[in-house]
Order: sequence, then C-alpha cells, then structure tokens
Amino acid sequence: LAGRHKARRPERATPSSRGALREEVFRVLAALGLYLLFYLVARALAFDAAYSAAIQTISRNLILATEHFPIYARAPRAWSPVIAHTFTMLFTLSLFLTSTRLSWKERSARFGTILLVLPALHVLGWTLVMKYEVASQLMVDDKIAVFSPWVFQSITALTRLTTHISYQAVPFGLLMLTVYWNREAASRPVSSRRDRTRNHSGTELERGEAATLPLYLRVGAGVALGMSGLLLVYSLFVERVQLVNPDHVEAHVALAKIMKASGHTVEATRQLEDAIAEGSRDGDAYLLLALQVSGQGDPARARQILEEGLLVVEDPTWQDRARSYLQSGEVFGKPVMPRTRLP
Amino acid sequence: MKLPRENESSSRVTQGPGRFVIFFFIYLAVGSVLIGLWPVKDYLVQPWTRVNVILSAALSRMIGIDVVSVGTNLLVGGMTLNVLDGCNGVFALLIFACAVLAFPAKLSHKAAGVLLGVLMILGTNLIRLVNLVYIARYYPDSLEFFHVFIWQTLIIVISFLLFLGWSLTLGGKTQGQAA
Repeated sequence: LAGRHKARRPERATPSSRGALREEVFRVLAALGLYLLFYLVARALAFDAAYSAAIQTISRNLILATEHFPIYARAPRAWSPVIAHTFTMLFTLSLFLTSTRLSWKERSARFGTILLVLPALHVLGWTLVMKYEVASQLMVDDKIAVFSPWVFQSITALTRLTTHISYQAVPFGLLMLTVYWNREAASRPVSSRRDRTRNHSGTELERGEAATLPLYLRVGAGVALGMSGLLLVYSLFVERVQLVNPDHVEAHVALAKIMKASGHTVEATRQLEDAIAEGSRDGDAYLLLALQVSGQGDPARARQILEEGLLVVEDPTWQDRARSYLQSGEVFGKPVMPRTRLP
Repeated sequence: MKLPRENESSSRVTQGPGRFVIFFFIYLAVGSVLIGLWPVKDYLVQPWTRVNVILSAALSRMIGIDVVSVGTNLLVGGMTLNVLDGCNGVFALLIFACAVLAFPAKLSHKAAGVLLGVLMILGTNLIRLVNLVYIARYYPDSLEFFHVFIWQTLIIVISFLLFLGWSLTLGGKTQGQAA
C-alpha cells in the first residue's frame, strides 16, 4: 500500500529530472552535431543524390506497374519532392550513436528497424505526391478527374501527412523515442542493465519490458504499413472496382482525346479500343475510333465500328448522327466508305 | 510519453507511453486533415504565414538587407522566397501542440504549453526566415543546404527541446494527477 501510495503521488520537478533534462539536451545537441558531420560526408560522397534517385526509381516503377491508365508517365522526371532527402536517415544514425544508455545490440535492433522503415515511408510519400500532382495537373489542364472527390481528398490528406508533416514529425518522433529509450535504460537497476547485455534468459522486469518496448516499433511500422496498405488497396483494388463502374470506361475516351490532341495517335487508338472492349456506351468512343481507323486507311473497319456502336449506344441523337455518317460515308468530314470515287 | 527517472518502477515507466503515442498520432492525423480545410487555411494558416513574412522582412531590413514582402513572398536580391506551408512553422507547431495535448497533464498546463510553443516557434521561424533571406542575398548557392538540412532539422530539434523542457517541468508537475 505504501508503495502504491508513493507511486501515485504527484511528481515534482526534482534535481534528478533537471539532470535528466541536461543529459537529454546534451544528447540531442550531440546528435545534431554528428548529423551535420554526416551530412558533409554524405554530400562529399554524393550519397544524398544517390538515395533520392533510388527512391524515385522505386516509386516510379511502383506507380507505372500498378497504374491502370498511362497518365503518370506525364509526371516530370526531374522533379523530386523534398521528402526523398537523406536527412532523416542521417539523423537516425546520429541518434543511434548518441544513445549511450542503450547497449549496442539494443541500439542496432531499434534504430536498425527505423532505418528500414524510413525508405518505405519515403517511397510511399513520393508515390502519393506523384499521384496528387498528376491528378491535379490533369484536373487543371485537361479537365479530367482521375479520382472521385473523396479519394482525392484522402490522397491529399495522406500526402500532407506523409510528406510535409512526416518530414518534421519523423525527426520529432525519433527524438521522443531516443529520449524515452535512454531514460528507460537509465531507470533499470544496474544489475539488470548488466544482465541485459550478457543474457536474455528473462527476469520478470525484462519480460515486461520486452513485451512493451516493441510497441513503438509496432506503432511506427503499423503506421507505415497501414499507409502502404492503403496505397496498395487503392492501386490494386479501387482502380479495379472503378473499372467495372460503367462511368469509369469513359475515362478511356477522355484520355484518348488527350492522347490524340498531343499527337499520340497509337495510344489514343488503344484507349478507344479498351473503352469499347470494356463495354463503353459512350458514342464518342465509337466515333473517334472510326475516325482514327478511317484516317489510317481502313474505311470498312470504320463503318463496322460505327455499326457496332449503333447496337450499344442508347443515345438517340448519337444514333441519328451515326446513321447519317454511315449513309453519307463521312465521319467528321472524312470518307468512311465513299460510294463513288471522284475521277 | 512519461520520461522515466532513475531506478523508477518498470511497470510505471511503461504504462503511459503507449497511450501517449496513440493519442499523438491520432491528433497528428486529425490536425493534418484540419489544416487542409479552407477555413483553417484562410483564417489561420495564411494570416500566420503573412505575419511571418511581414515580421521577417521588417527584421531583415533592420539588419540592413534590402527585402520586400509581397503576400507570402520575400523578394531579395533578384530572388523570390515563397514561404510555403512547410516553411511557415505551422507543421512544427502542429507537431509540438499534438505532443503537448497527448501528454498527460492538466488542461491549463497544456494550454500554457501550446501558447509557449506558439511564441517560441514563431520566434524561431522568424530567425530562420531572416537567416534564409541573408543566405539568399549573400550566399545563394548554399540556400538549399541551409533551408533543408540545417533549418528543417534545427526547428524540429528546438520544438522537441521545448517539449522536453515543458514535459519535465510544467507537464511533469501534474502528471500524477492528470494521468
């Protein structure tokens, strides 16, 4: 009871807490100094540029491999969000070296895990930024919404969280973990500290710590994995779900218009064929494809496409237009199947 | 997160941190959504950014640097420094505030902590902006180094030290009552 009462008494700022504060402030400042030193070395070895390039390459390949439409190829190649810099990695390394209250084994396990999670977070951030930027660009330049409003809002919030905020929240979290881990190590009985470095057979204290310490790693890894999971779900599931949405195939047609306007006629044709193959009921898909095919010198195929469109497209106005094109032998002024040839 | 003291009972040590970390992340996620909403942007973030820009321009002129503030831009020596969301200290303040709010302490002490954070982070950010204006004016090639590698880290370190000091003094005094 006395022990419990003592444990519940309000704490006061004591000399020991001031000592702890001094020690931790010194640790943080030492880490900052080491970080600057590491930065100079990394800069001299061009490590930062290599790391950014690696993150970009992984992210770009991930995007290109999972995208349904070839729209992310539009993203500027040279552009690099600030998140891909190495500063969090170097800072983690500095904190690893300055965590003198922990054994080397503990440091390696804890900070090593962080060093593995950080690149995953950078890849995720870069991927989200790219999706956000390209979606915004398409919306502004081409009036195409590649995301539904709620998906766009979610991506915007996730992007903010994984880039700007995580850019500063991650070092803040690292500092909190470092200070906590070091104070926790300082609070262990001396014998326990010694035992931990030699064997891990496990007193109750050690088992308790072992059960609770990985919580931070679990939370950190859980957040990173959760966000990665959201991205994966979006890429692999949501886009596929949208694919069976009758409205979704219209995006093929919209993209075909962009491709055609920018001179990518082969890709435009492919998009239109995809739209029709996926059951598009958009008359423009049939008209545009007929125009493309006709322009490539295959009027019979163009006529066939329009006739297929008549079976699918329910819009009576379009049907009237298509019939008139078939009868006159013209699509947008170009001959589909001229009935008479001029001498 | 409650910072353990020397020879403190392990069970006490490990009770608070999980709760703190969870609340910290929840507040951070909510905060990141909130600061993206237009009323928060228009009536809080933008005015805050303009205050930063106007004050840093005035301070820069006081030390002899010819700089003009236009909206959220600082025009110096043919360069335009656009003070964006990441450069106005809002995220640092958000992170600090989330940490203070997640920390087990009395509400009045949390409010004092947040107010202290607003003043300190605004002050630090002004020093950062004046320094970046100086670098842009006289050492433009080093701007990225100072902008990304020095100040981003420094402002977080300062925010963290502020939080550490608060949690071990004002926050620490009331932990037992509030937790």
